[in-house]
Amino acid sequence: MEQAVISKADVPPFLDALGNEYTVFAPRKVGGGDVVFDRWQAGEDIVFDFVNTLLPPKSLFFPTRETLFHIDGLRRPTLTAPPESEPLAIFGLRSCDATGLGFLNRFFGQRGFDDKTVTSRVRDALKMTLACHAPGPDCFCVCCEGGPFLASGFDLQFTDLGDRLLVDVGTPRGAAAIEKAPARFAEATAGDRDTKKRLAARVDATFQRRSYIAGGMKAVSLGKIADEVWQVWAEDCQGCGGCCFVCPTCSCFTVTDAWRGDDAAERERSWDACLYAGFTREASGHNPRVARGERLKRRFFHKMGCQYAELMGRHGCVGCGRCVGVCMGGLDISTLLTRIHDECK
Amino acid sequence: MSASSLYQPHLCQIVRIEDETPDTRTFFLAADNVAWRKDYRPGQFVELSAFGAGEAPFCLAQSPTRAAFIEVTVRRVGWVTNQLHAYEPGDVVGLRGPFGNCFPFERAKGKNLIFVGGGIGLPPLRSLINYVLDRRGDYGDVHVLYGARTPADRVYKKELAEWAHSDQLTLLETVDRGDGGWTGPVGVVTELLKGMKVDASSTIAFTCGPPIMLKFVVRELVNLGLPNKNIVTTLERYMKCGIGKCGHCCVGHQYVCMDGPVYNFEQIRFLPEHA
Amino acid sequence: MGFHLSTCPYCSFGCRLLLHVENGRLVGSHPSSGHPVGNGSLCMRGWNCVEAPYDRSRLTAARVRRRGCLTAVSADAAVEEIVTRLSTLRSAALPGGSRAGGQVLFVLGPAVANEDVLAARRLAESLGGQACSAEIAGARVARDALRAVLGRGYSARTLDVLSQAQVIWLFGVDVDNYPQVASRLVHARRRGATLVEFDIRATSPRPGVRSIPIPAGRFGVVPLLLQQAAFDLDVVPPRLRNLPQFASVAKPFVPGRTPLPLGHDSLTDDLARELVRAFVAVPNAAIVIGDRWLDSANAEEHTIQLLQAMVLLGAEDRVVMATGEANSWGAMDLLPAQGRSPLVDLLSPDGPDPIRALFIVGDDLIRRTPRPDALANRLSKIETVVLMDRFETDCLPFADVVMPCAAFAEQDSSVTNCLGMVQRWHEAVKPPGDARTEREWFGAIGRRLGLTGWPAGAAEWLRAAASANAAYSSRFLDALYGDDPGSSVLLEERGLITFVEPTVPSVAPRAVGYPLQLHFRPHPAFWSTGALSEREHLLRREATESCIWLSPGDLQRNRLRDGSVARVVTPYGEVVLTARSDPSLTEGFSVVTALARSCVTSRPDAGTAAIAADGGQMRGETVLSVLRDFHPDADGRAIATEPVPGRIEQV
Repeated sequence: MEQAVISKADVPPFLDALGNEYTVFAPRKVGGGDVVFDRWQAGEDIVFDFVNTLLPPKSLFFPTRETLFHIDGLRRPTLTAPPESEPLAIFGLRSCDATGLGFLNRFFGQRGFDDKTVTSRVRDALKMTLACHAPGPDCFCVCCEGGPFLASGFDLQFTDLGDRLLVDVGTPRGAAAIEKAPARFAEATAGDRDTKKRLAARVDATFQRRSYIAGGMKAVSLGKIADEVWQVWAEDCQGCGGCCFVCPTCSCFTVTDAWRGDDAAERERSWDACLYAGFTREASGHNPRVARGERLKRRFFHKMGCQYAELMGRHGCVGCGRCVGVCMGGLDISTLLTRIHDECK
Repeated sequence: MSASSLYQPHLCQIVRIEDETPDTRTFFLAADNVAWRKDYRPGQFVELSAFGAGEAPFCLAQSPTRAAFIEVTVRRVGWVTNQLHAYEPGDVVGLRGPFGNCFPFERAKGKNLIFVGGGIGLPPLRSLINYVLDRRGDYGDVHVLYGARTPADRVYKKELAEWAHSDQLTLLETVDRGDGGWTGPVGVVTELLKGMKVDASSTIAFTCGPPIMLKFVVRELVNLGLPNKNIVTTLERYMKCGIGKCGHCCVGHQYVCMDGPVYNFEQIRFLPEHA
Repeated sequence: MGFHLSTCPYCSFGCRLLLHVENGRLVGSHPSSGHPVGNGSLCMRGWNCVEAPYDRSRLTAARVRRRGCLTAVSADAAVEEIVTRLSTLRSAALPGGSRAGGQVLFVLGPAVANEDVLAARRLAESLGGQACSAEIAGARVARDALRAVLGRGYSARTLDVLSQAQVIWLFGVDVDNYPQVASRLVHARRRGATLVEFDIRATSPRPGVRSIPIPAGRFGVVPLLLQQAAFDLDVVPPRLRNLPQFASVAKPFVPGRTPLPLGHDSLTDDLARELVRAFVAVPNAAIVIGDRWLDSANAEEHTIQLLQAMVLLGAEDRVVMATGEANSWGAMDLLPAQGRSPLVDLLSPDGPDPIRALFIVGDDLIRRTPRPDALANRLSKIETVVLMDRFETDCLPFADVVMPCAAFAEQDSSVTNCLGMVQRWHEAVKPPGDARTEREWFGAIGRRLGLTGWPAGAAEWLRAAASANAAYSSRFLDALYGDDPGSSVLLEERGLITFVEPTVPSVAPRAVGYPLQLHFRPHPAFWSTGALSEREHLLRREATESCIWLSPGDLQRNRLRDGSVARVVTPYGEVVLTARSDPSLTEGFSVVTALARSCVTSRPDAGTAAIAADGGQMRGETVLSVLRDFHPDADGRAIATEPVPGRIEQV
């Protein structure tokens, strides 16, 4: 793998140069203390000191709400697809989220139906990750093969060495990106490479290992937790759907026709959550998962079950820790896997 | 085609509408420009759009061997179906499909077939029944058992009348409640099974209907000696995309829109939620 | 792409959130970290709040009724129409020569922002009329009790009082409707805190919560028993012990020593003492008072007594009032104190100065009122009815003029939550069509009527709030319109604890506004996700699955079975419900009592509460007002006399 270095001060001009071919996204601080991925503006400062964005960058490739096509005339319709958008370049992607994007890309492209609304976007995007220096309070990517450093799944991987960044080139697209501003990059020295290696080892050691995850996966796959236990645990769930929305690998959605006047509509795809009571409700009113415990059990089966892991090449958690922060009932994946582990001891 | 083509439906004009019951209609859609109109398989379904209201899944109710139109039978029960019922010939709906797996009509060759339908469960079965009738030599005895709440609630009344007089199959009908003119049996459709002589080793049964009916029918079929894998049904689920992406129809590790909707009872035994 | 901070408009806690905008449309909302209420999370409503503004029932054009039909007109034309009608009013002479001002009434809903409330008040007063808030009874009872006893508008100022409490008492709280409260309770339970719930009927048993069912109409006994226990245990501070207000409590408590006839866990003196002992054994026990308590019979009286009990126990700063909607509390802060007359009576055509022009601002009065027929009757007789709202509502048939208003994400305004925090709405997208804030409409009307000195922007309006309420001192509130878009300001209040002798109100049944309406109104279509195809289910349930719970014996006596459909007939109307068996219920409850229980019961699944009992002609609120016919005995404690007769028949 080719490696280069770039000073931190040179990153903004590099992103500017990318702006000719890509719409560039980078982390930005917004009011309230959060960081979001937003369109890079020329001359902006780069945010390096953040743990992670509140929403995963899946929203750039699989938006919270998007128009699939316009409908003019409801009984004698004309359908118009929205214009194609420019490819994205995203800087500051964390390893866990890059892993999540790979997961989503595989999901949306598999089983004979390649949903290009997502897969093309992911494949055409320039993914520039920023490896993590220290775990956030809720992170556990090391237990989920999601980081903190990746060997693949990125076009460029940036490691913060202080005043400069070491750049791992992962793909020809990454190499071509460097060629957009070659003056900003220098060949990595042996010393740089060493620094990164030592840093990676040190960082890796600071991430806590949580051994119950593998055990939890097994228990969930084999259906070892009784339905009644799920019911009890589900008492705490407030049905907000937050865990589904902040999860980098969650992809459930609904499709609706949104009103745009008396004879026009837009078919929209928007995020949905399997924990919502109405997720499986049929038009007749029958609901196969009417009890919250059933929905909770279902979610964990989907995330951690071996059957799905086989289908997807890995289980559905990248260890980003977002569900820990957003859950109102303390039922994040980490807590529940601990409980599952304890339950099956 | 643009990136959203997986979700963008084909436009189909409604050519004819027939009222089956007070709340059920069959829509005949122009199929001339539907590339797959002869290639779909009985048991598959389509996603039909009433633009402005949304999309809903419906089984293809006619055999591909009779592909003059795309036929879909719709019961008025919710937002989309209500909108569809307000349509008239000439109006245009959206069509995506065909989706899902199909009835095991290959495996059923040479076997005797029993079809047990309840109420609105007849449409999916009808596509296979007509397919079998069009390939009659490939199959053994054919029995069709149909039960409805009342005589007015029977769908495909014309076809049922034809089948009653056909020597290609045996039709047995019953209703839960008769009316003045009904001369046939009264009772649940399971009763029609009792007393049937069935060679269990060479019979496959196909059954569709309300869950409560299925429960008793399956029990009766098992009593008659049929192994689970030769009792075939379609699983109902709220479906949205039809292509295994939106997640609504997941059961266990399967997507009913792709791994189903046709399942045999050996498979259903291993699915976590049967209802 | 843009991210704008705002405050969720769906309940009175107001989590901060980030609104995501693409191409001028709202596409999503996300939590905001570090917010004292939201804590980086949102409930189902907060996550889906951006969908409602685009519903097809959204009002975008002004309309005027011409020849019986509402016709779209320009904004200016609508303003002209109102001005013309108001001018007619002002020129009417009254005996005594006074201006006809009293004839204008502005009724403001709970989602009207502070600045718009002030603007409504300003316009009303310049017309010699009045602005009042719609009947959000629960919040009003809470506010009146807080003022009476604590001398201030708010008790707990942060939800941390629940995060730190080791004992929490819940009084008629609908936790499903306030998920941030529910979340704190979940965590409290996890750390081993004691949770005790006093409520009309035990909801499906919840783990870790000790449930003490109290019959409807009998809530009043609870605080008295708690006060009595405090005295018995001698935990009352010396300076309060000899107050004359407590003389009757400090003595043996007769009657009331007998257990309530519940047949299961009743609140005996022993139990009350046990509970109080545990309450004072920890330094920071807290309570939550909710809508079922605040909406019940004589809630004014027994909420005062509950607060007084809390003072005795030293917990007066740790009372969370889980009631109200987006800006119920701000509206109460900035409008003059209003009497208890139901709206229907305020609109009576009799009397010296009947209302001739009514502005219905941001509320669906017909939907909320317990007496829709009576209200409809009144509305149809008022000469000028102006509807100012975001969505079409059931009041539309009575409107002469309709003014479309801006939604929460389309305006720069402030709202006050139930903890006394003033927070911001930011304009993330432009309002559609001719929609604009209420204050802009009022300003246009006022200008045409010759009103001067109208504040130019939101910040100026908020500065004017100080004159309506000293707690809104501009010194602190300027920060809200300053550089930090995520700022909030905690109102400063000083209060004097007073022990009052509560009186039973002598007016007719109080109108009830159900925050539970959040789930259905003000917009009919909801979120497209599974969350609120939930809403459709609930709407269907209202019609067909609303239940009445009866004991097995009562079911049998009425020749019903579990699941059979029954018609409940009372002098106040009839409703069709599904009869359900509940073996935990005692036999022999009157039909109407059982009905009232079912009216306020949460559904056992999903995170939403059912309003139940609106299966037809009789609304739950009406049944509860029926129960208010229970008469207090001479000592001021409510006990049931004769249950309202009714019968239940099989359909």
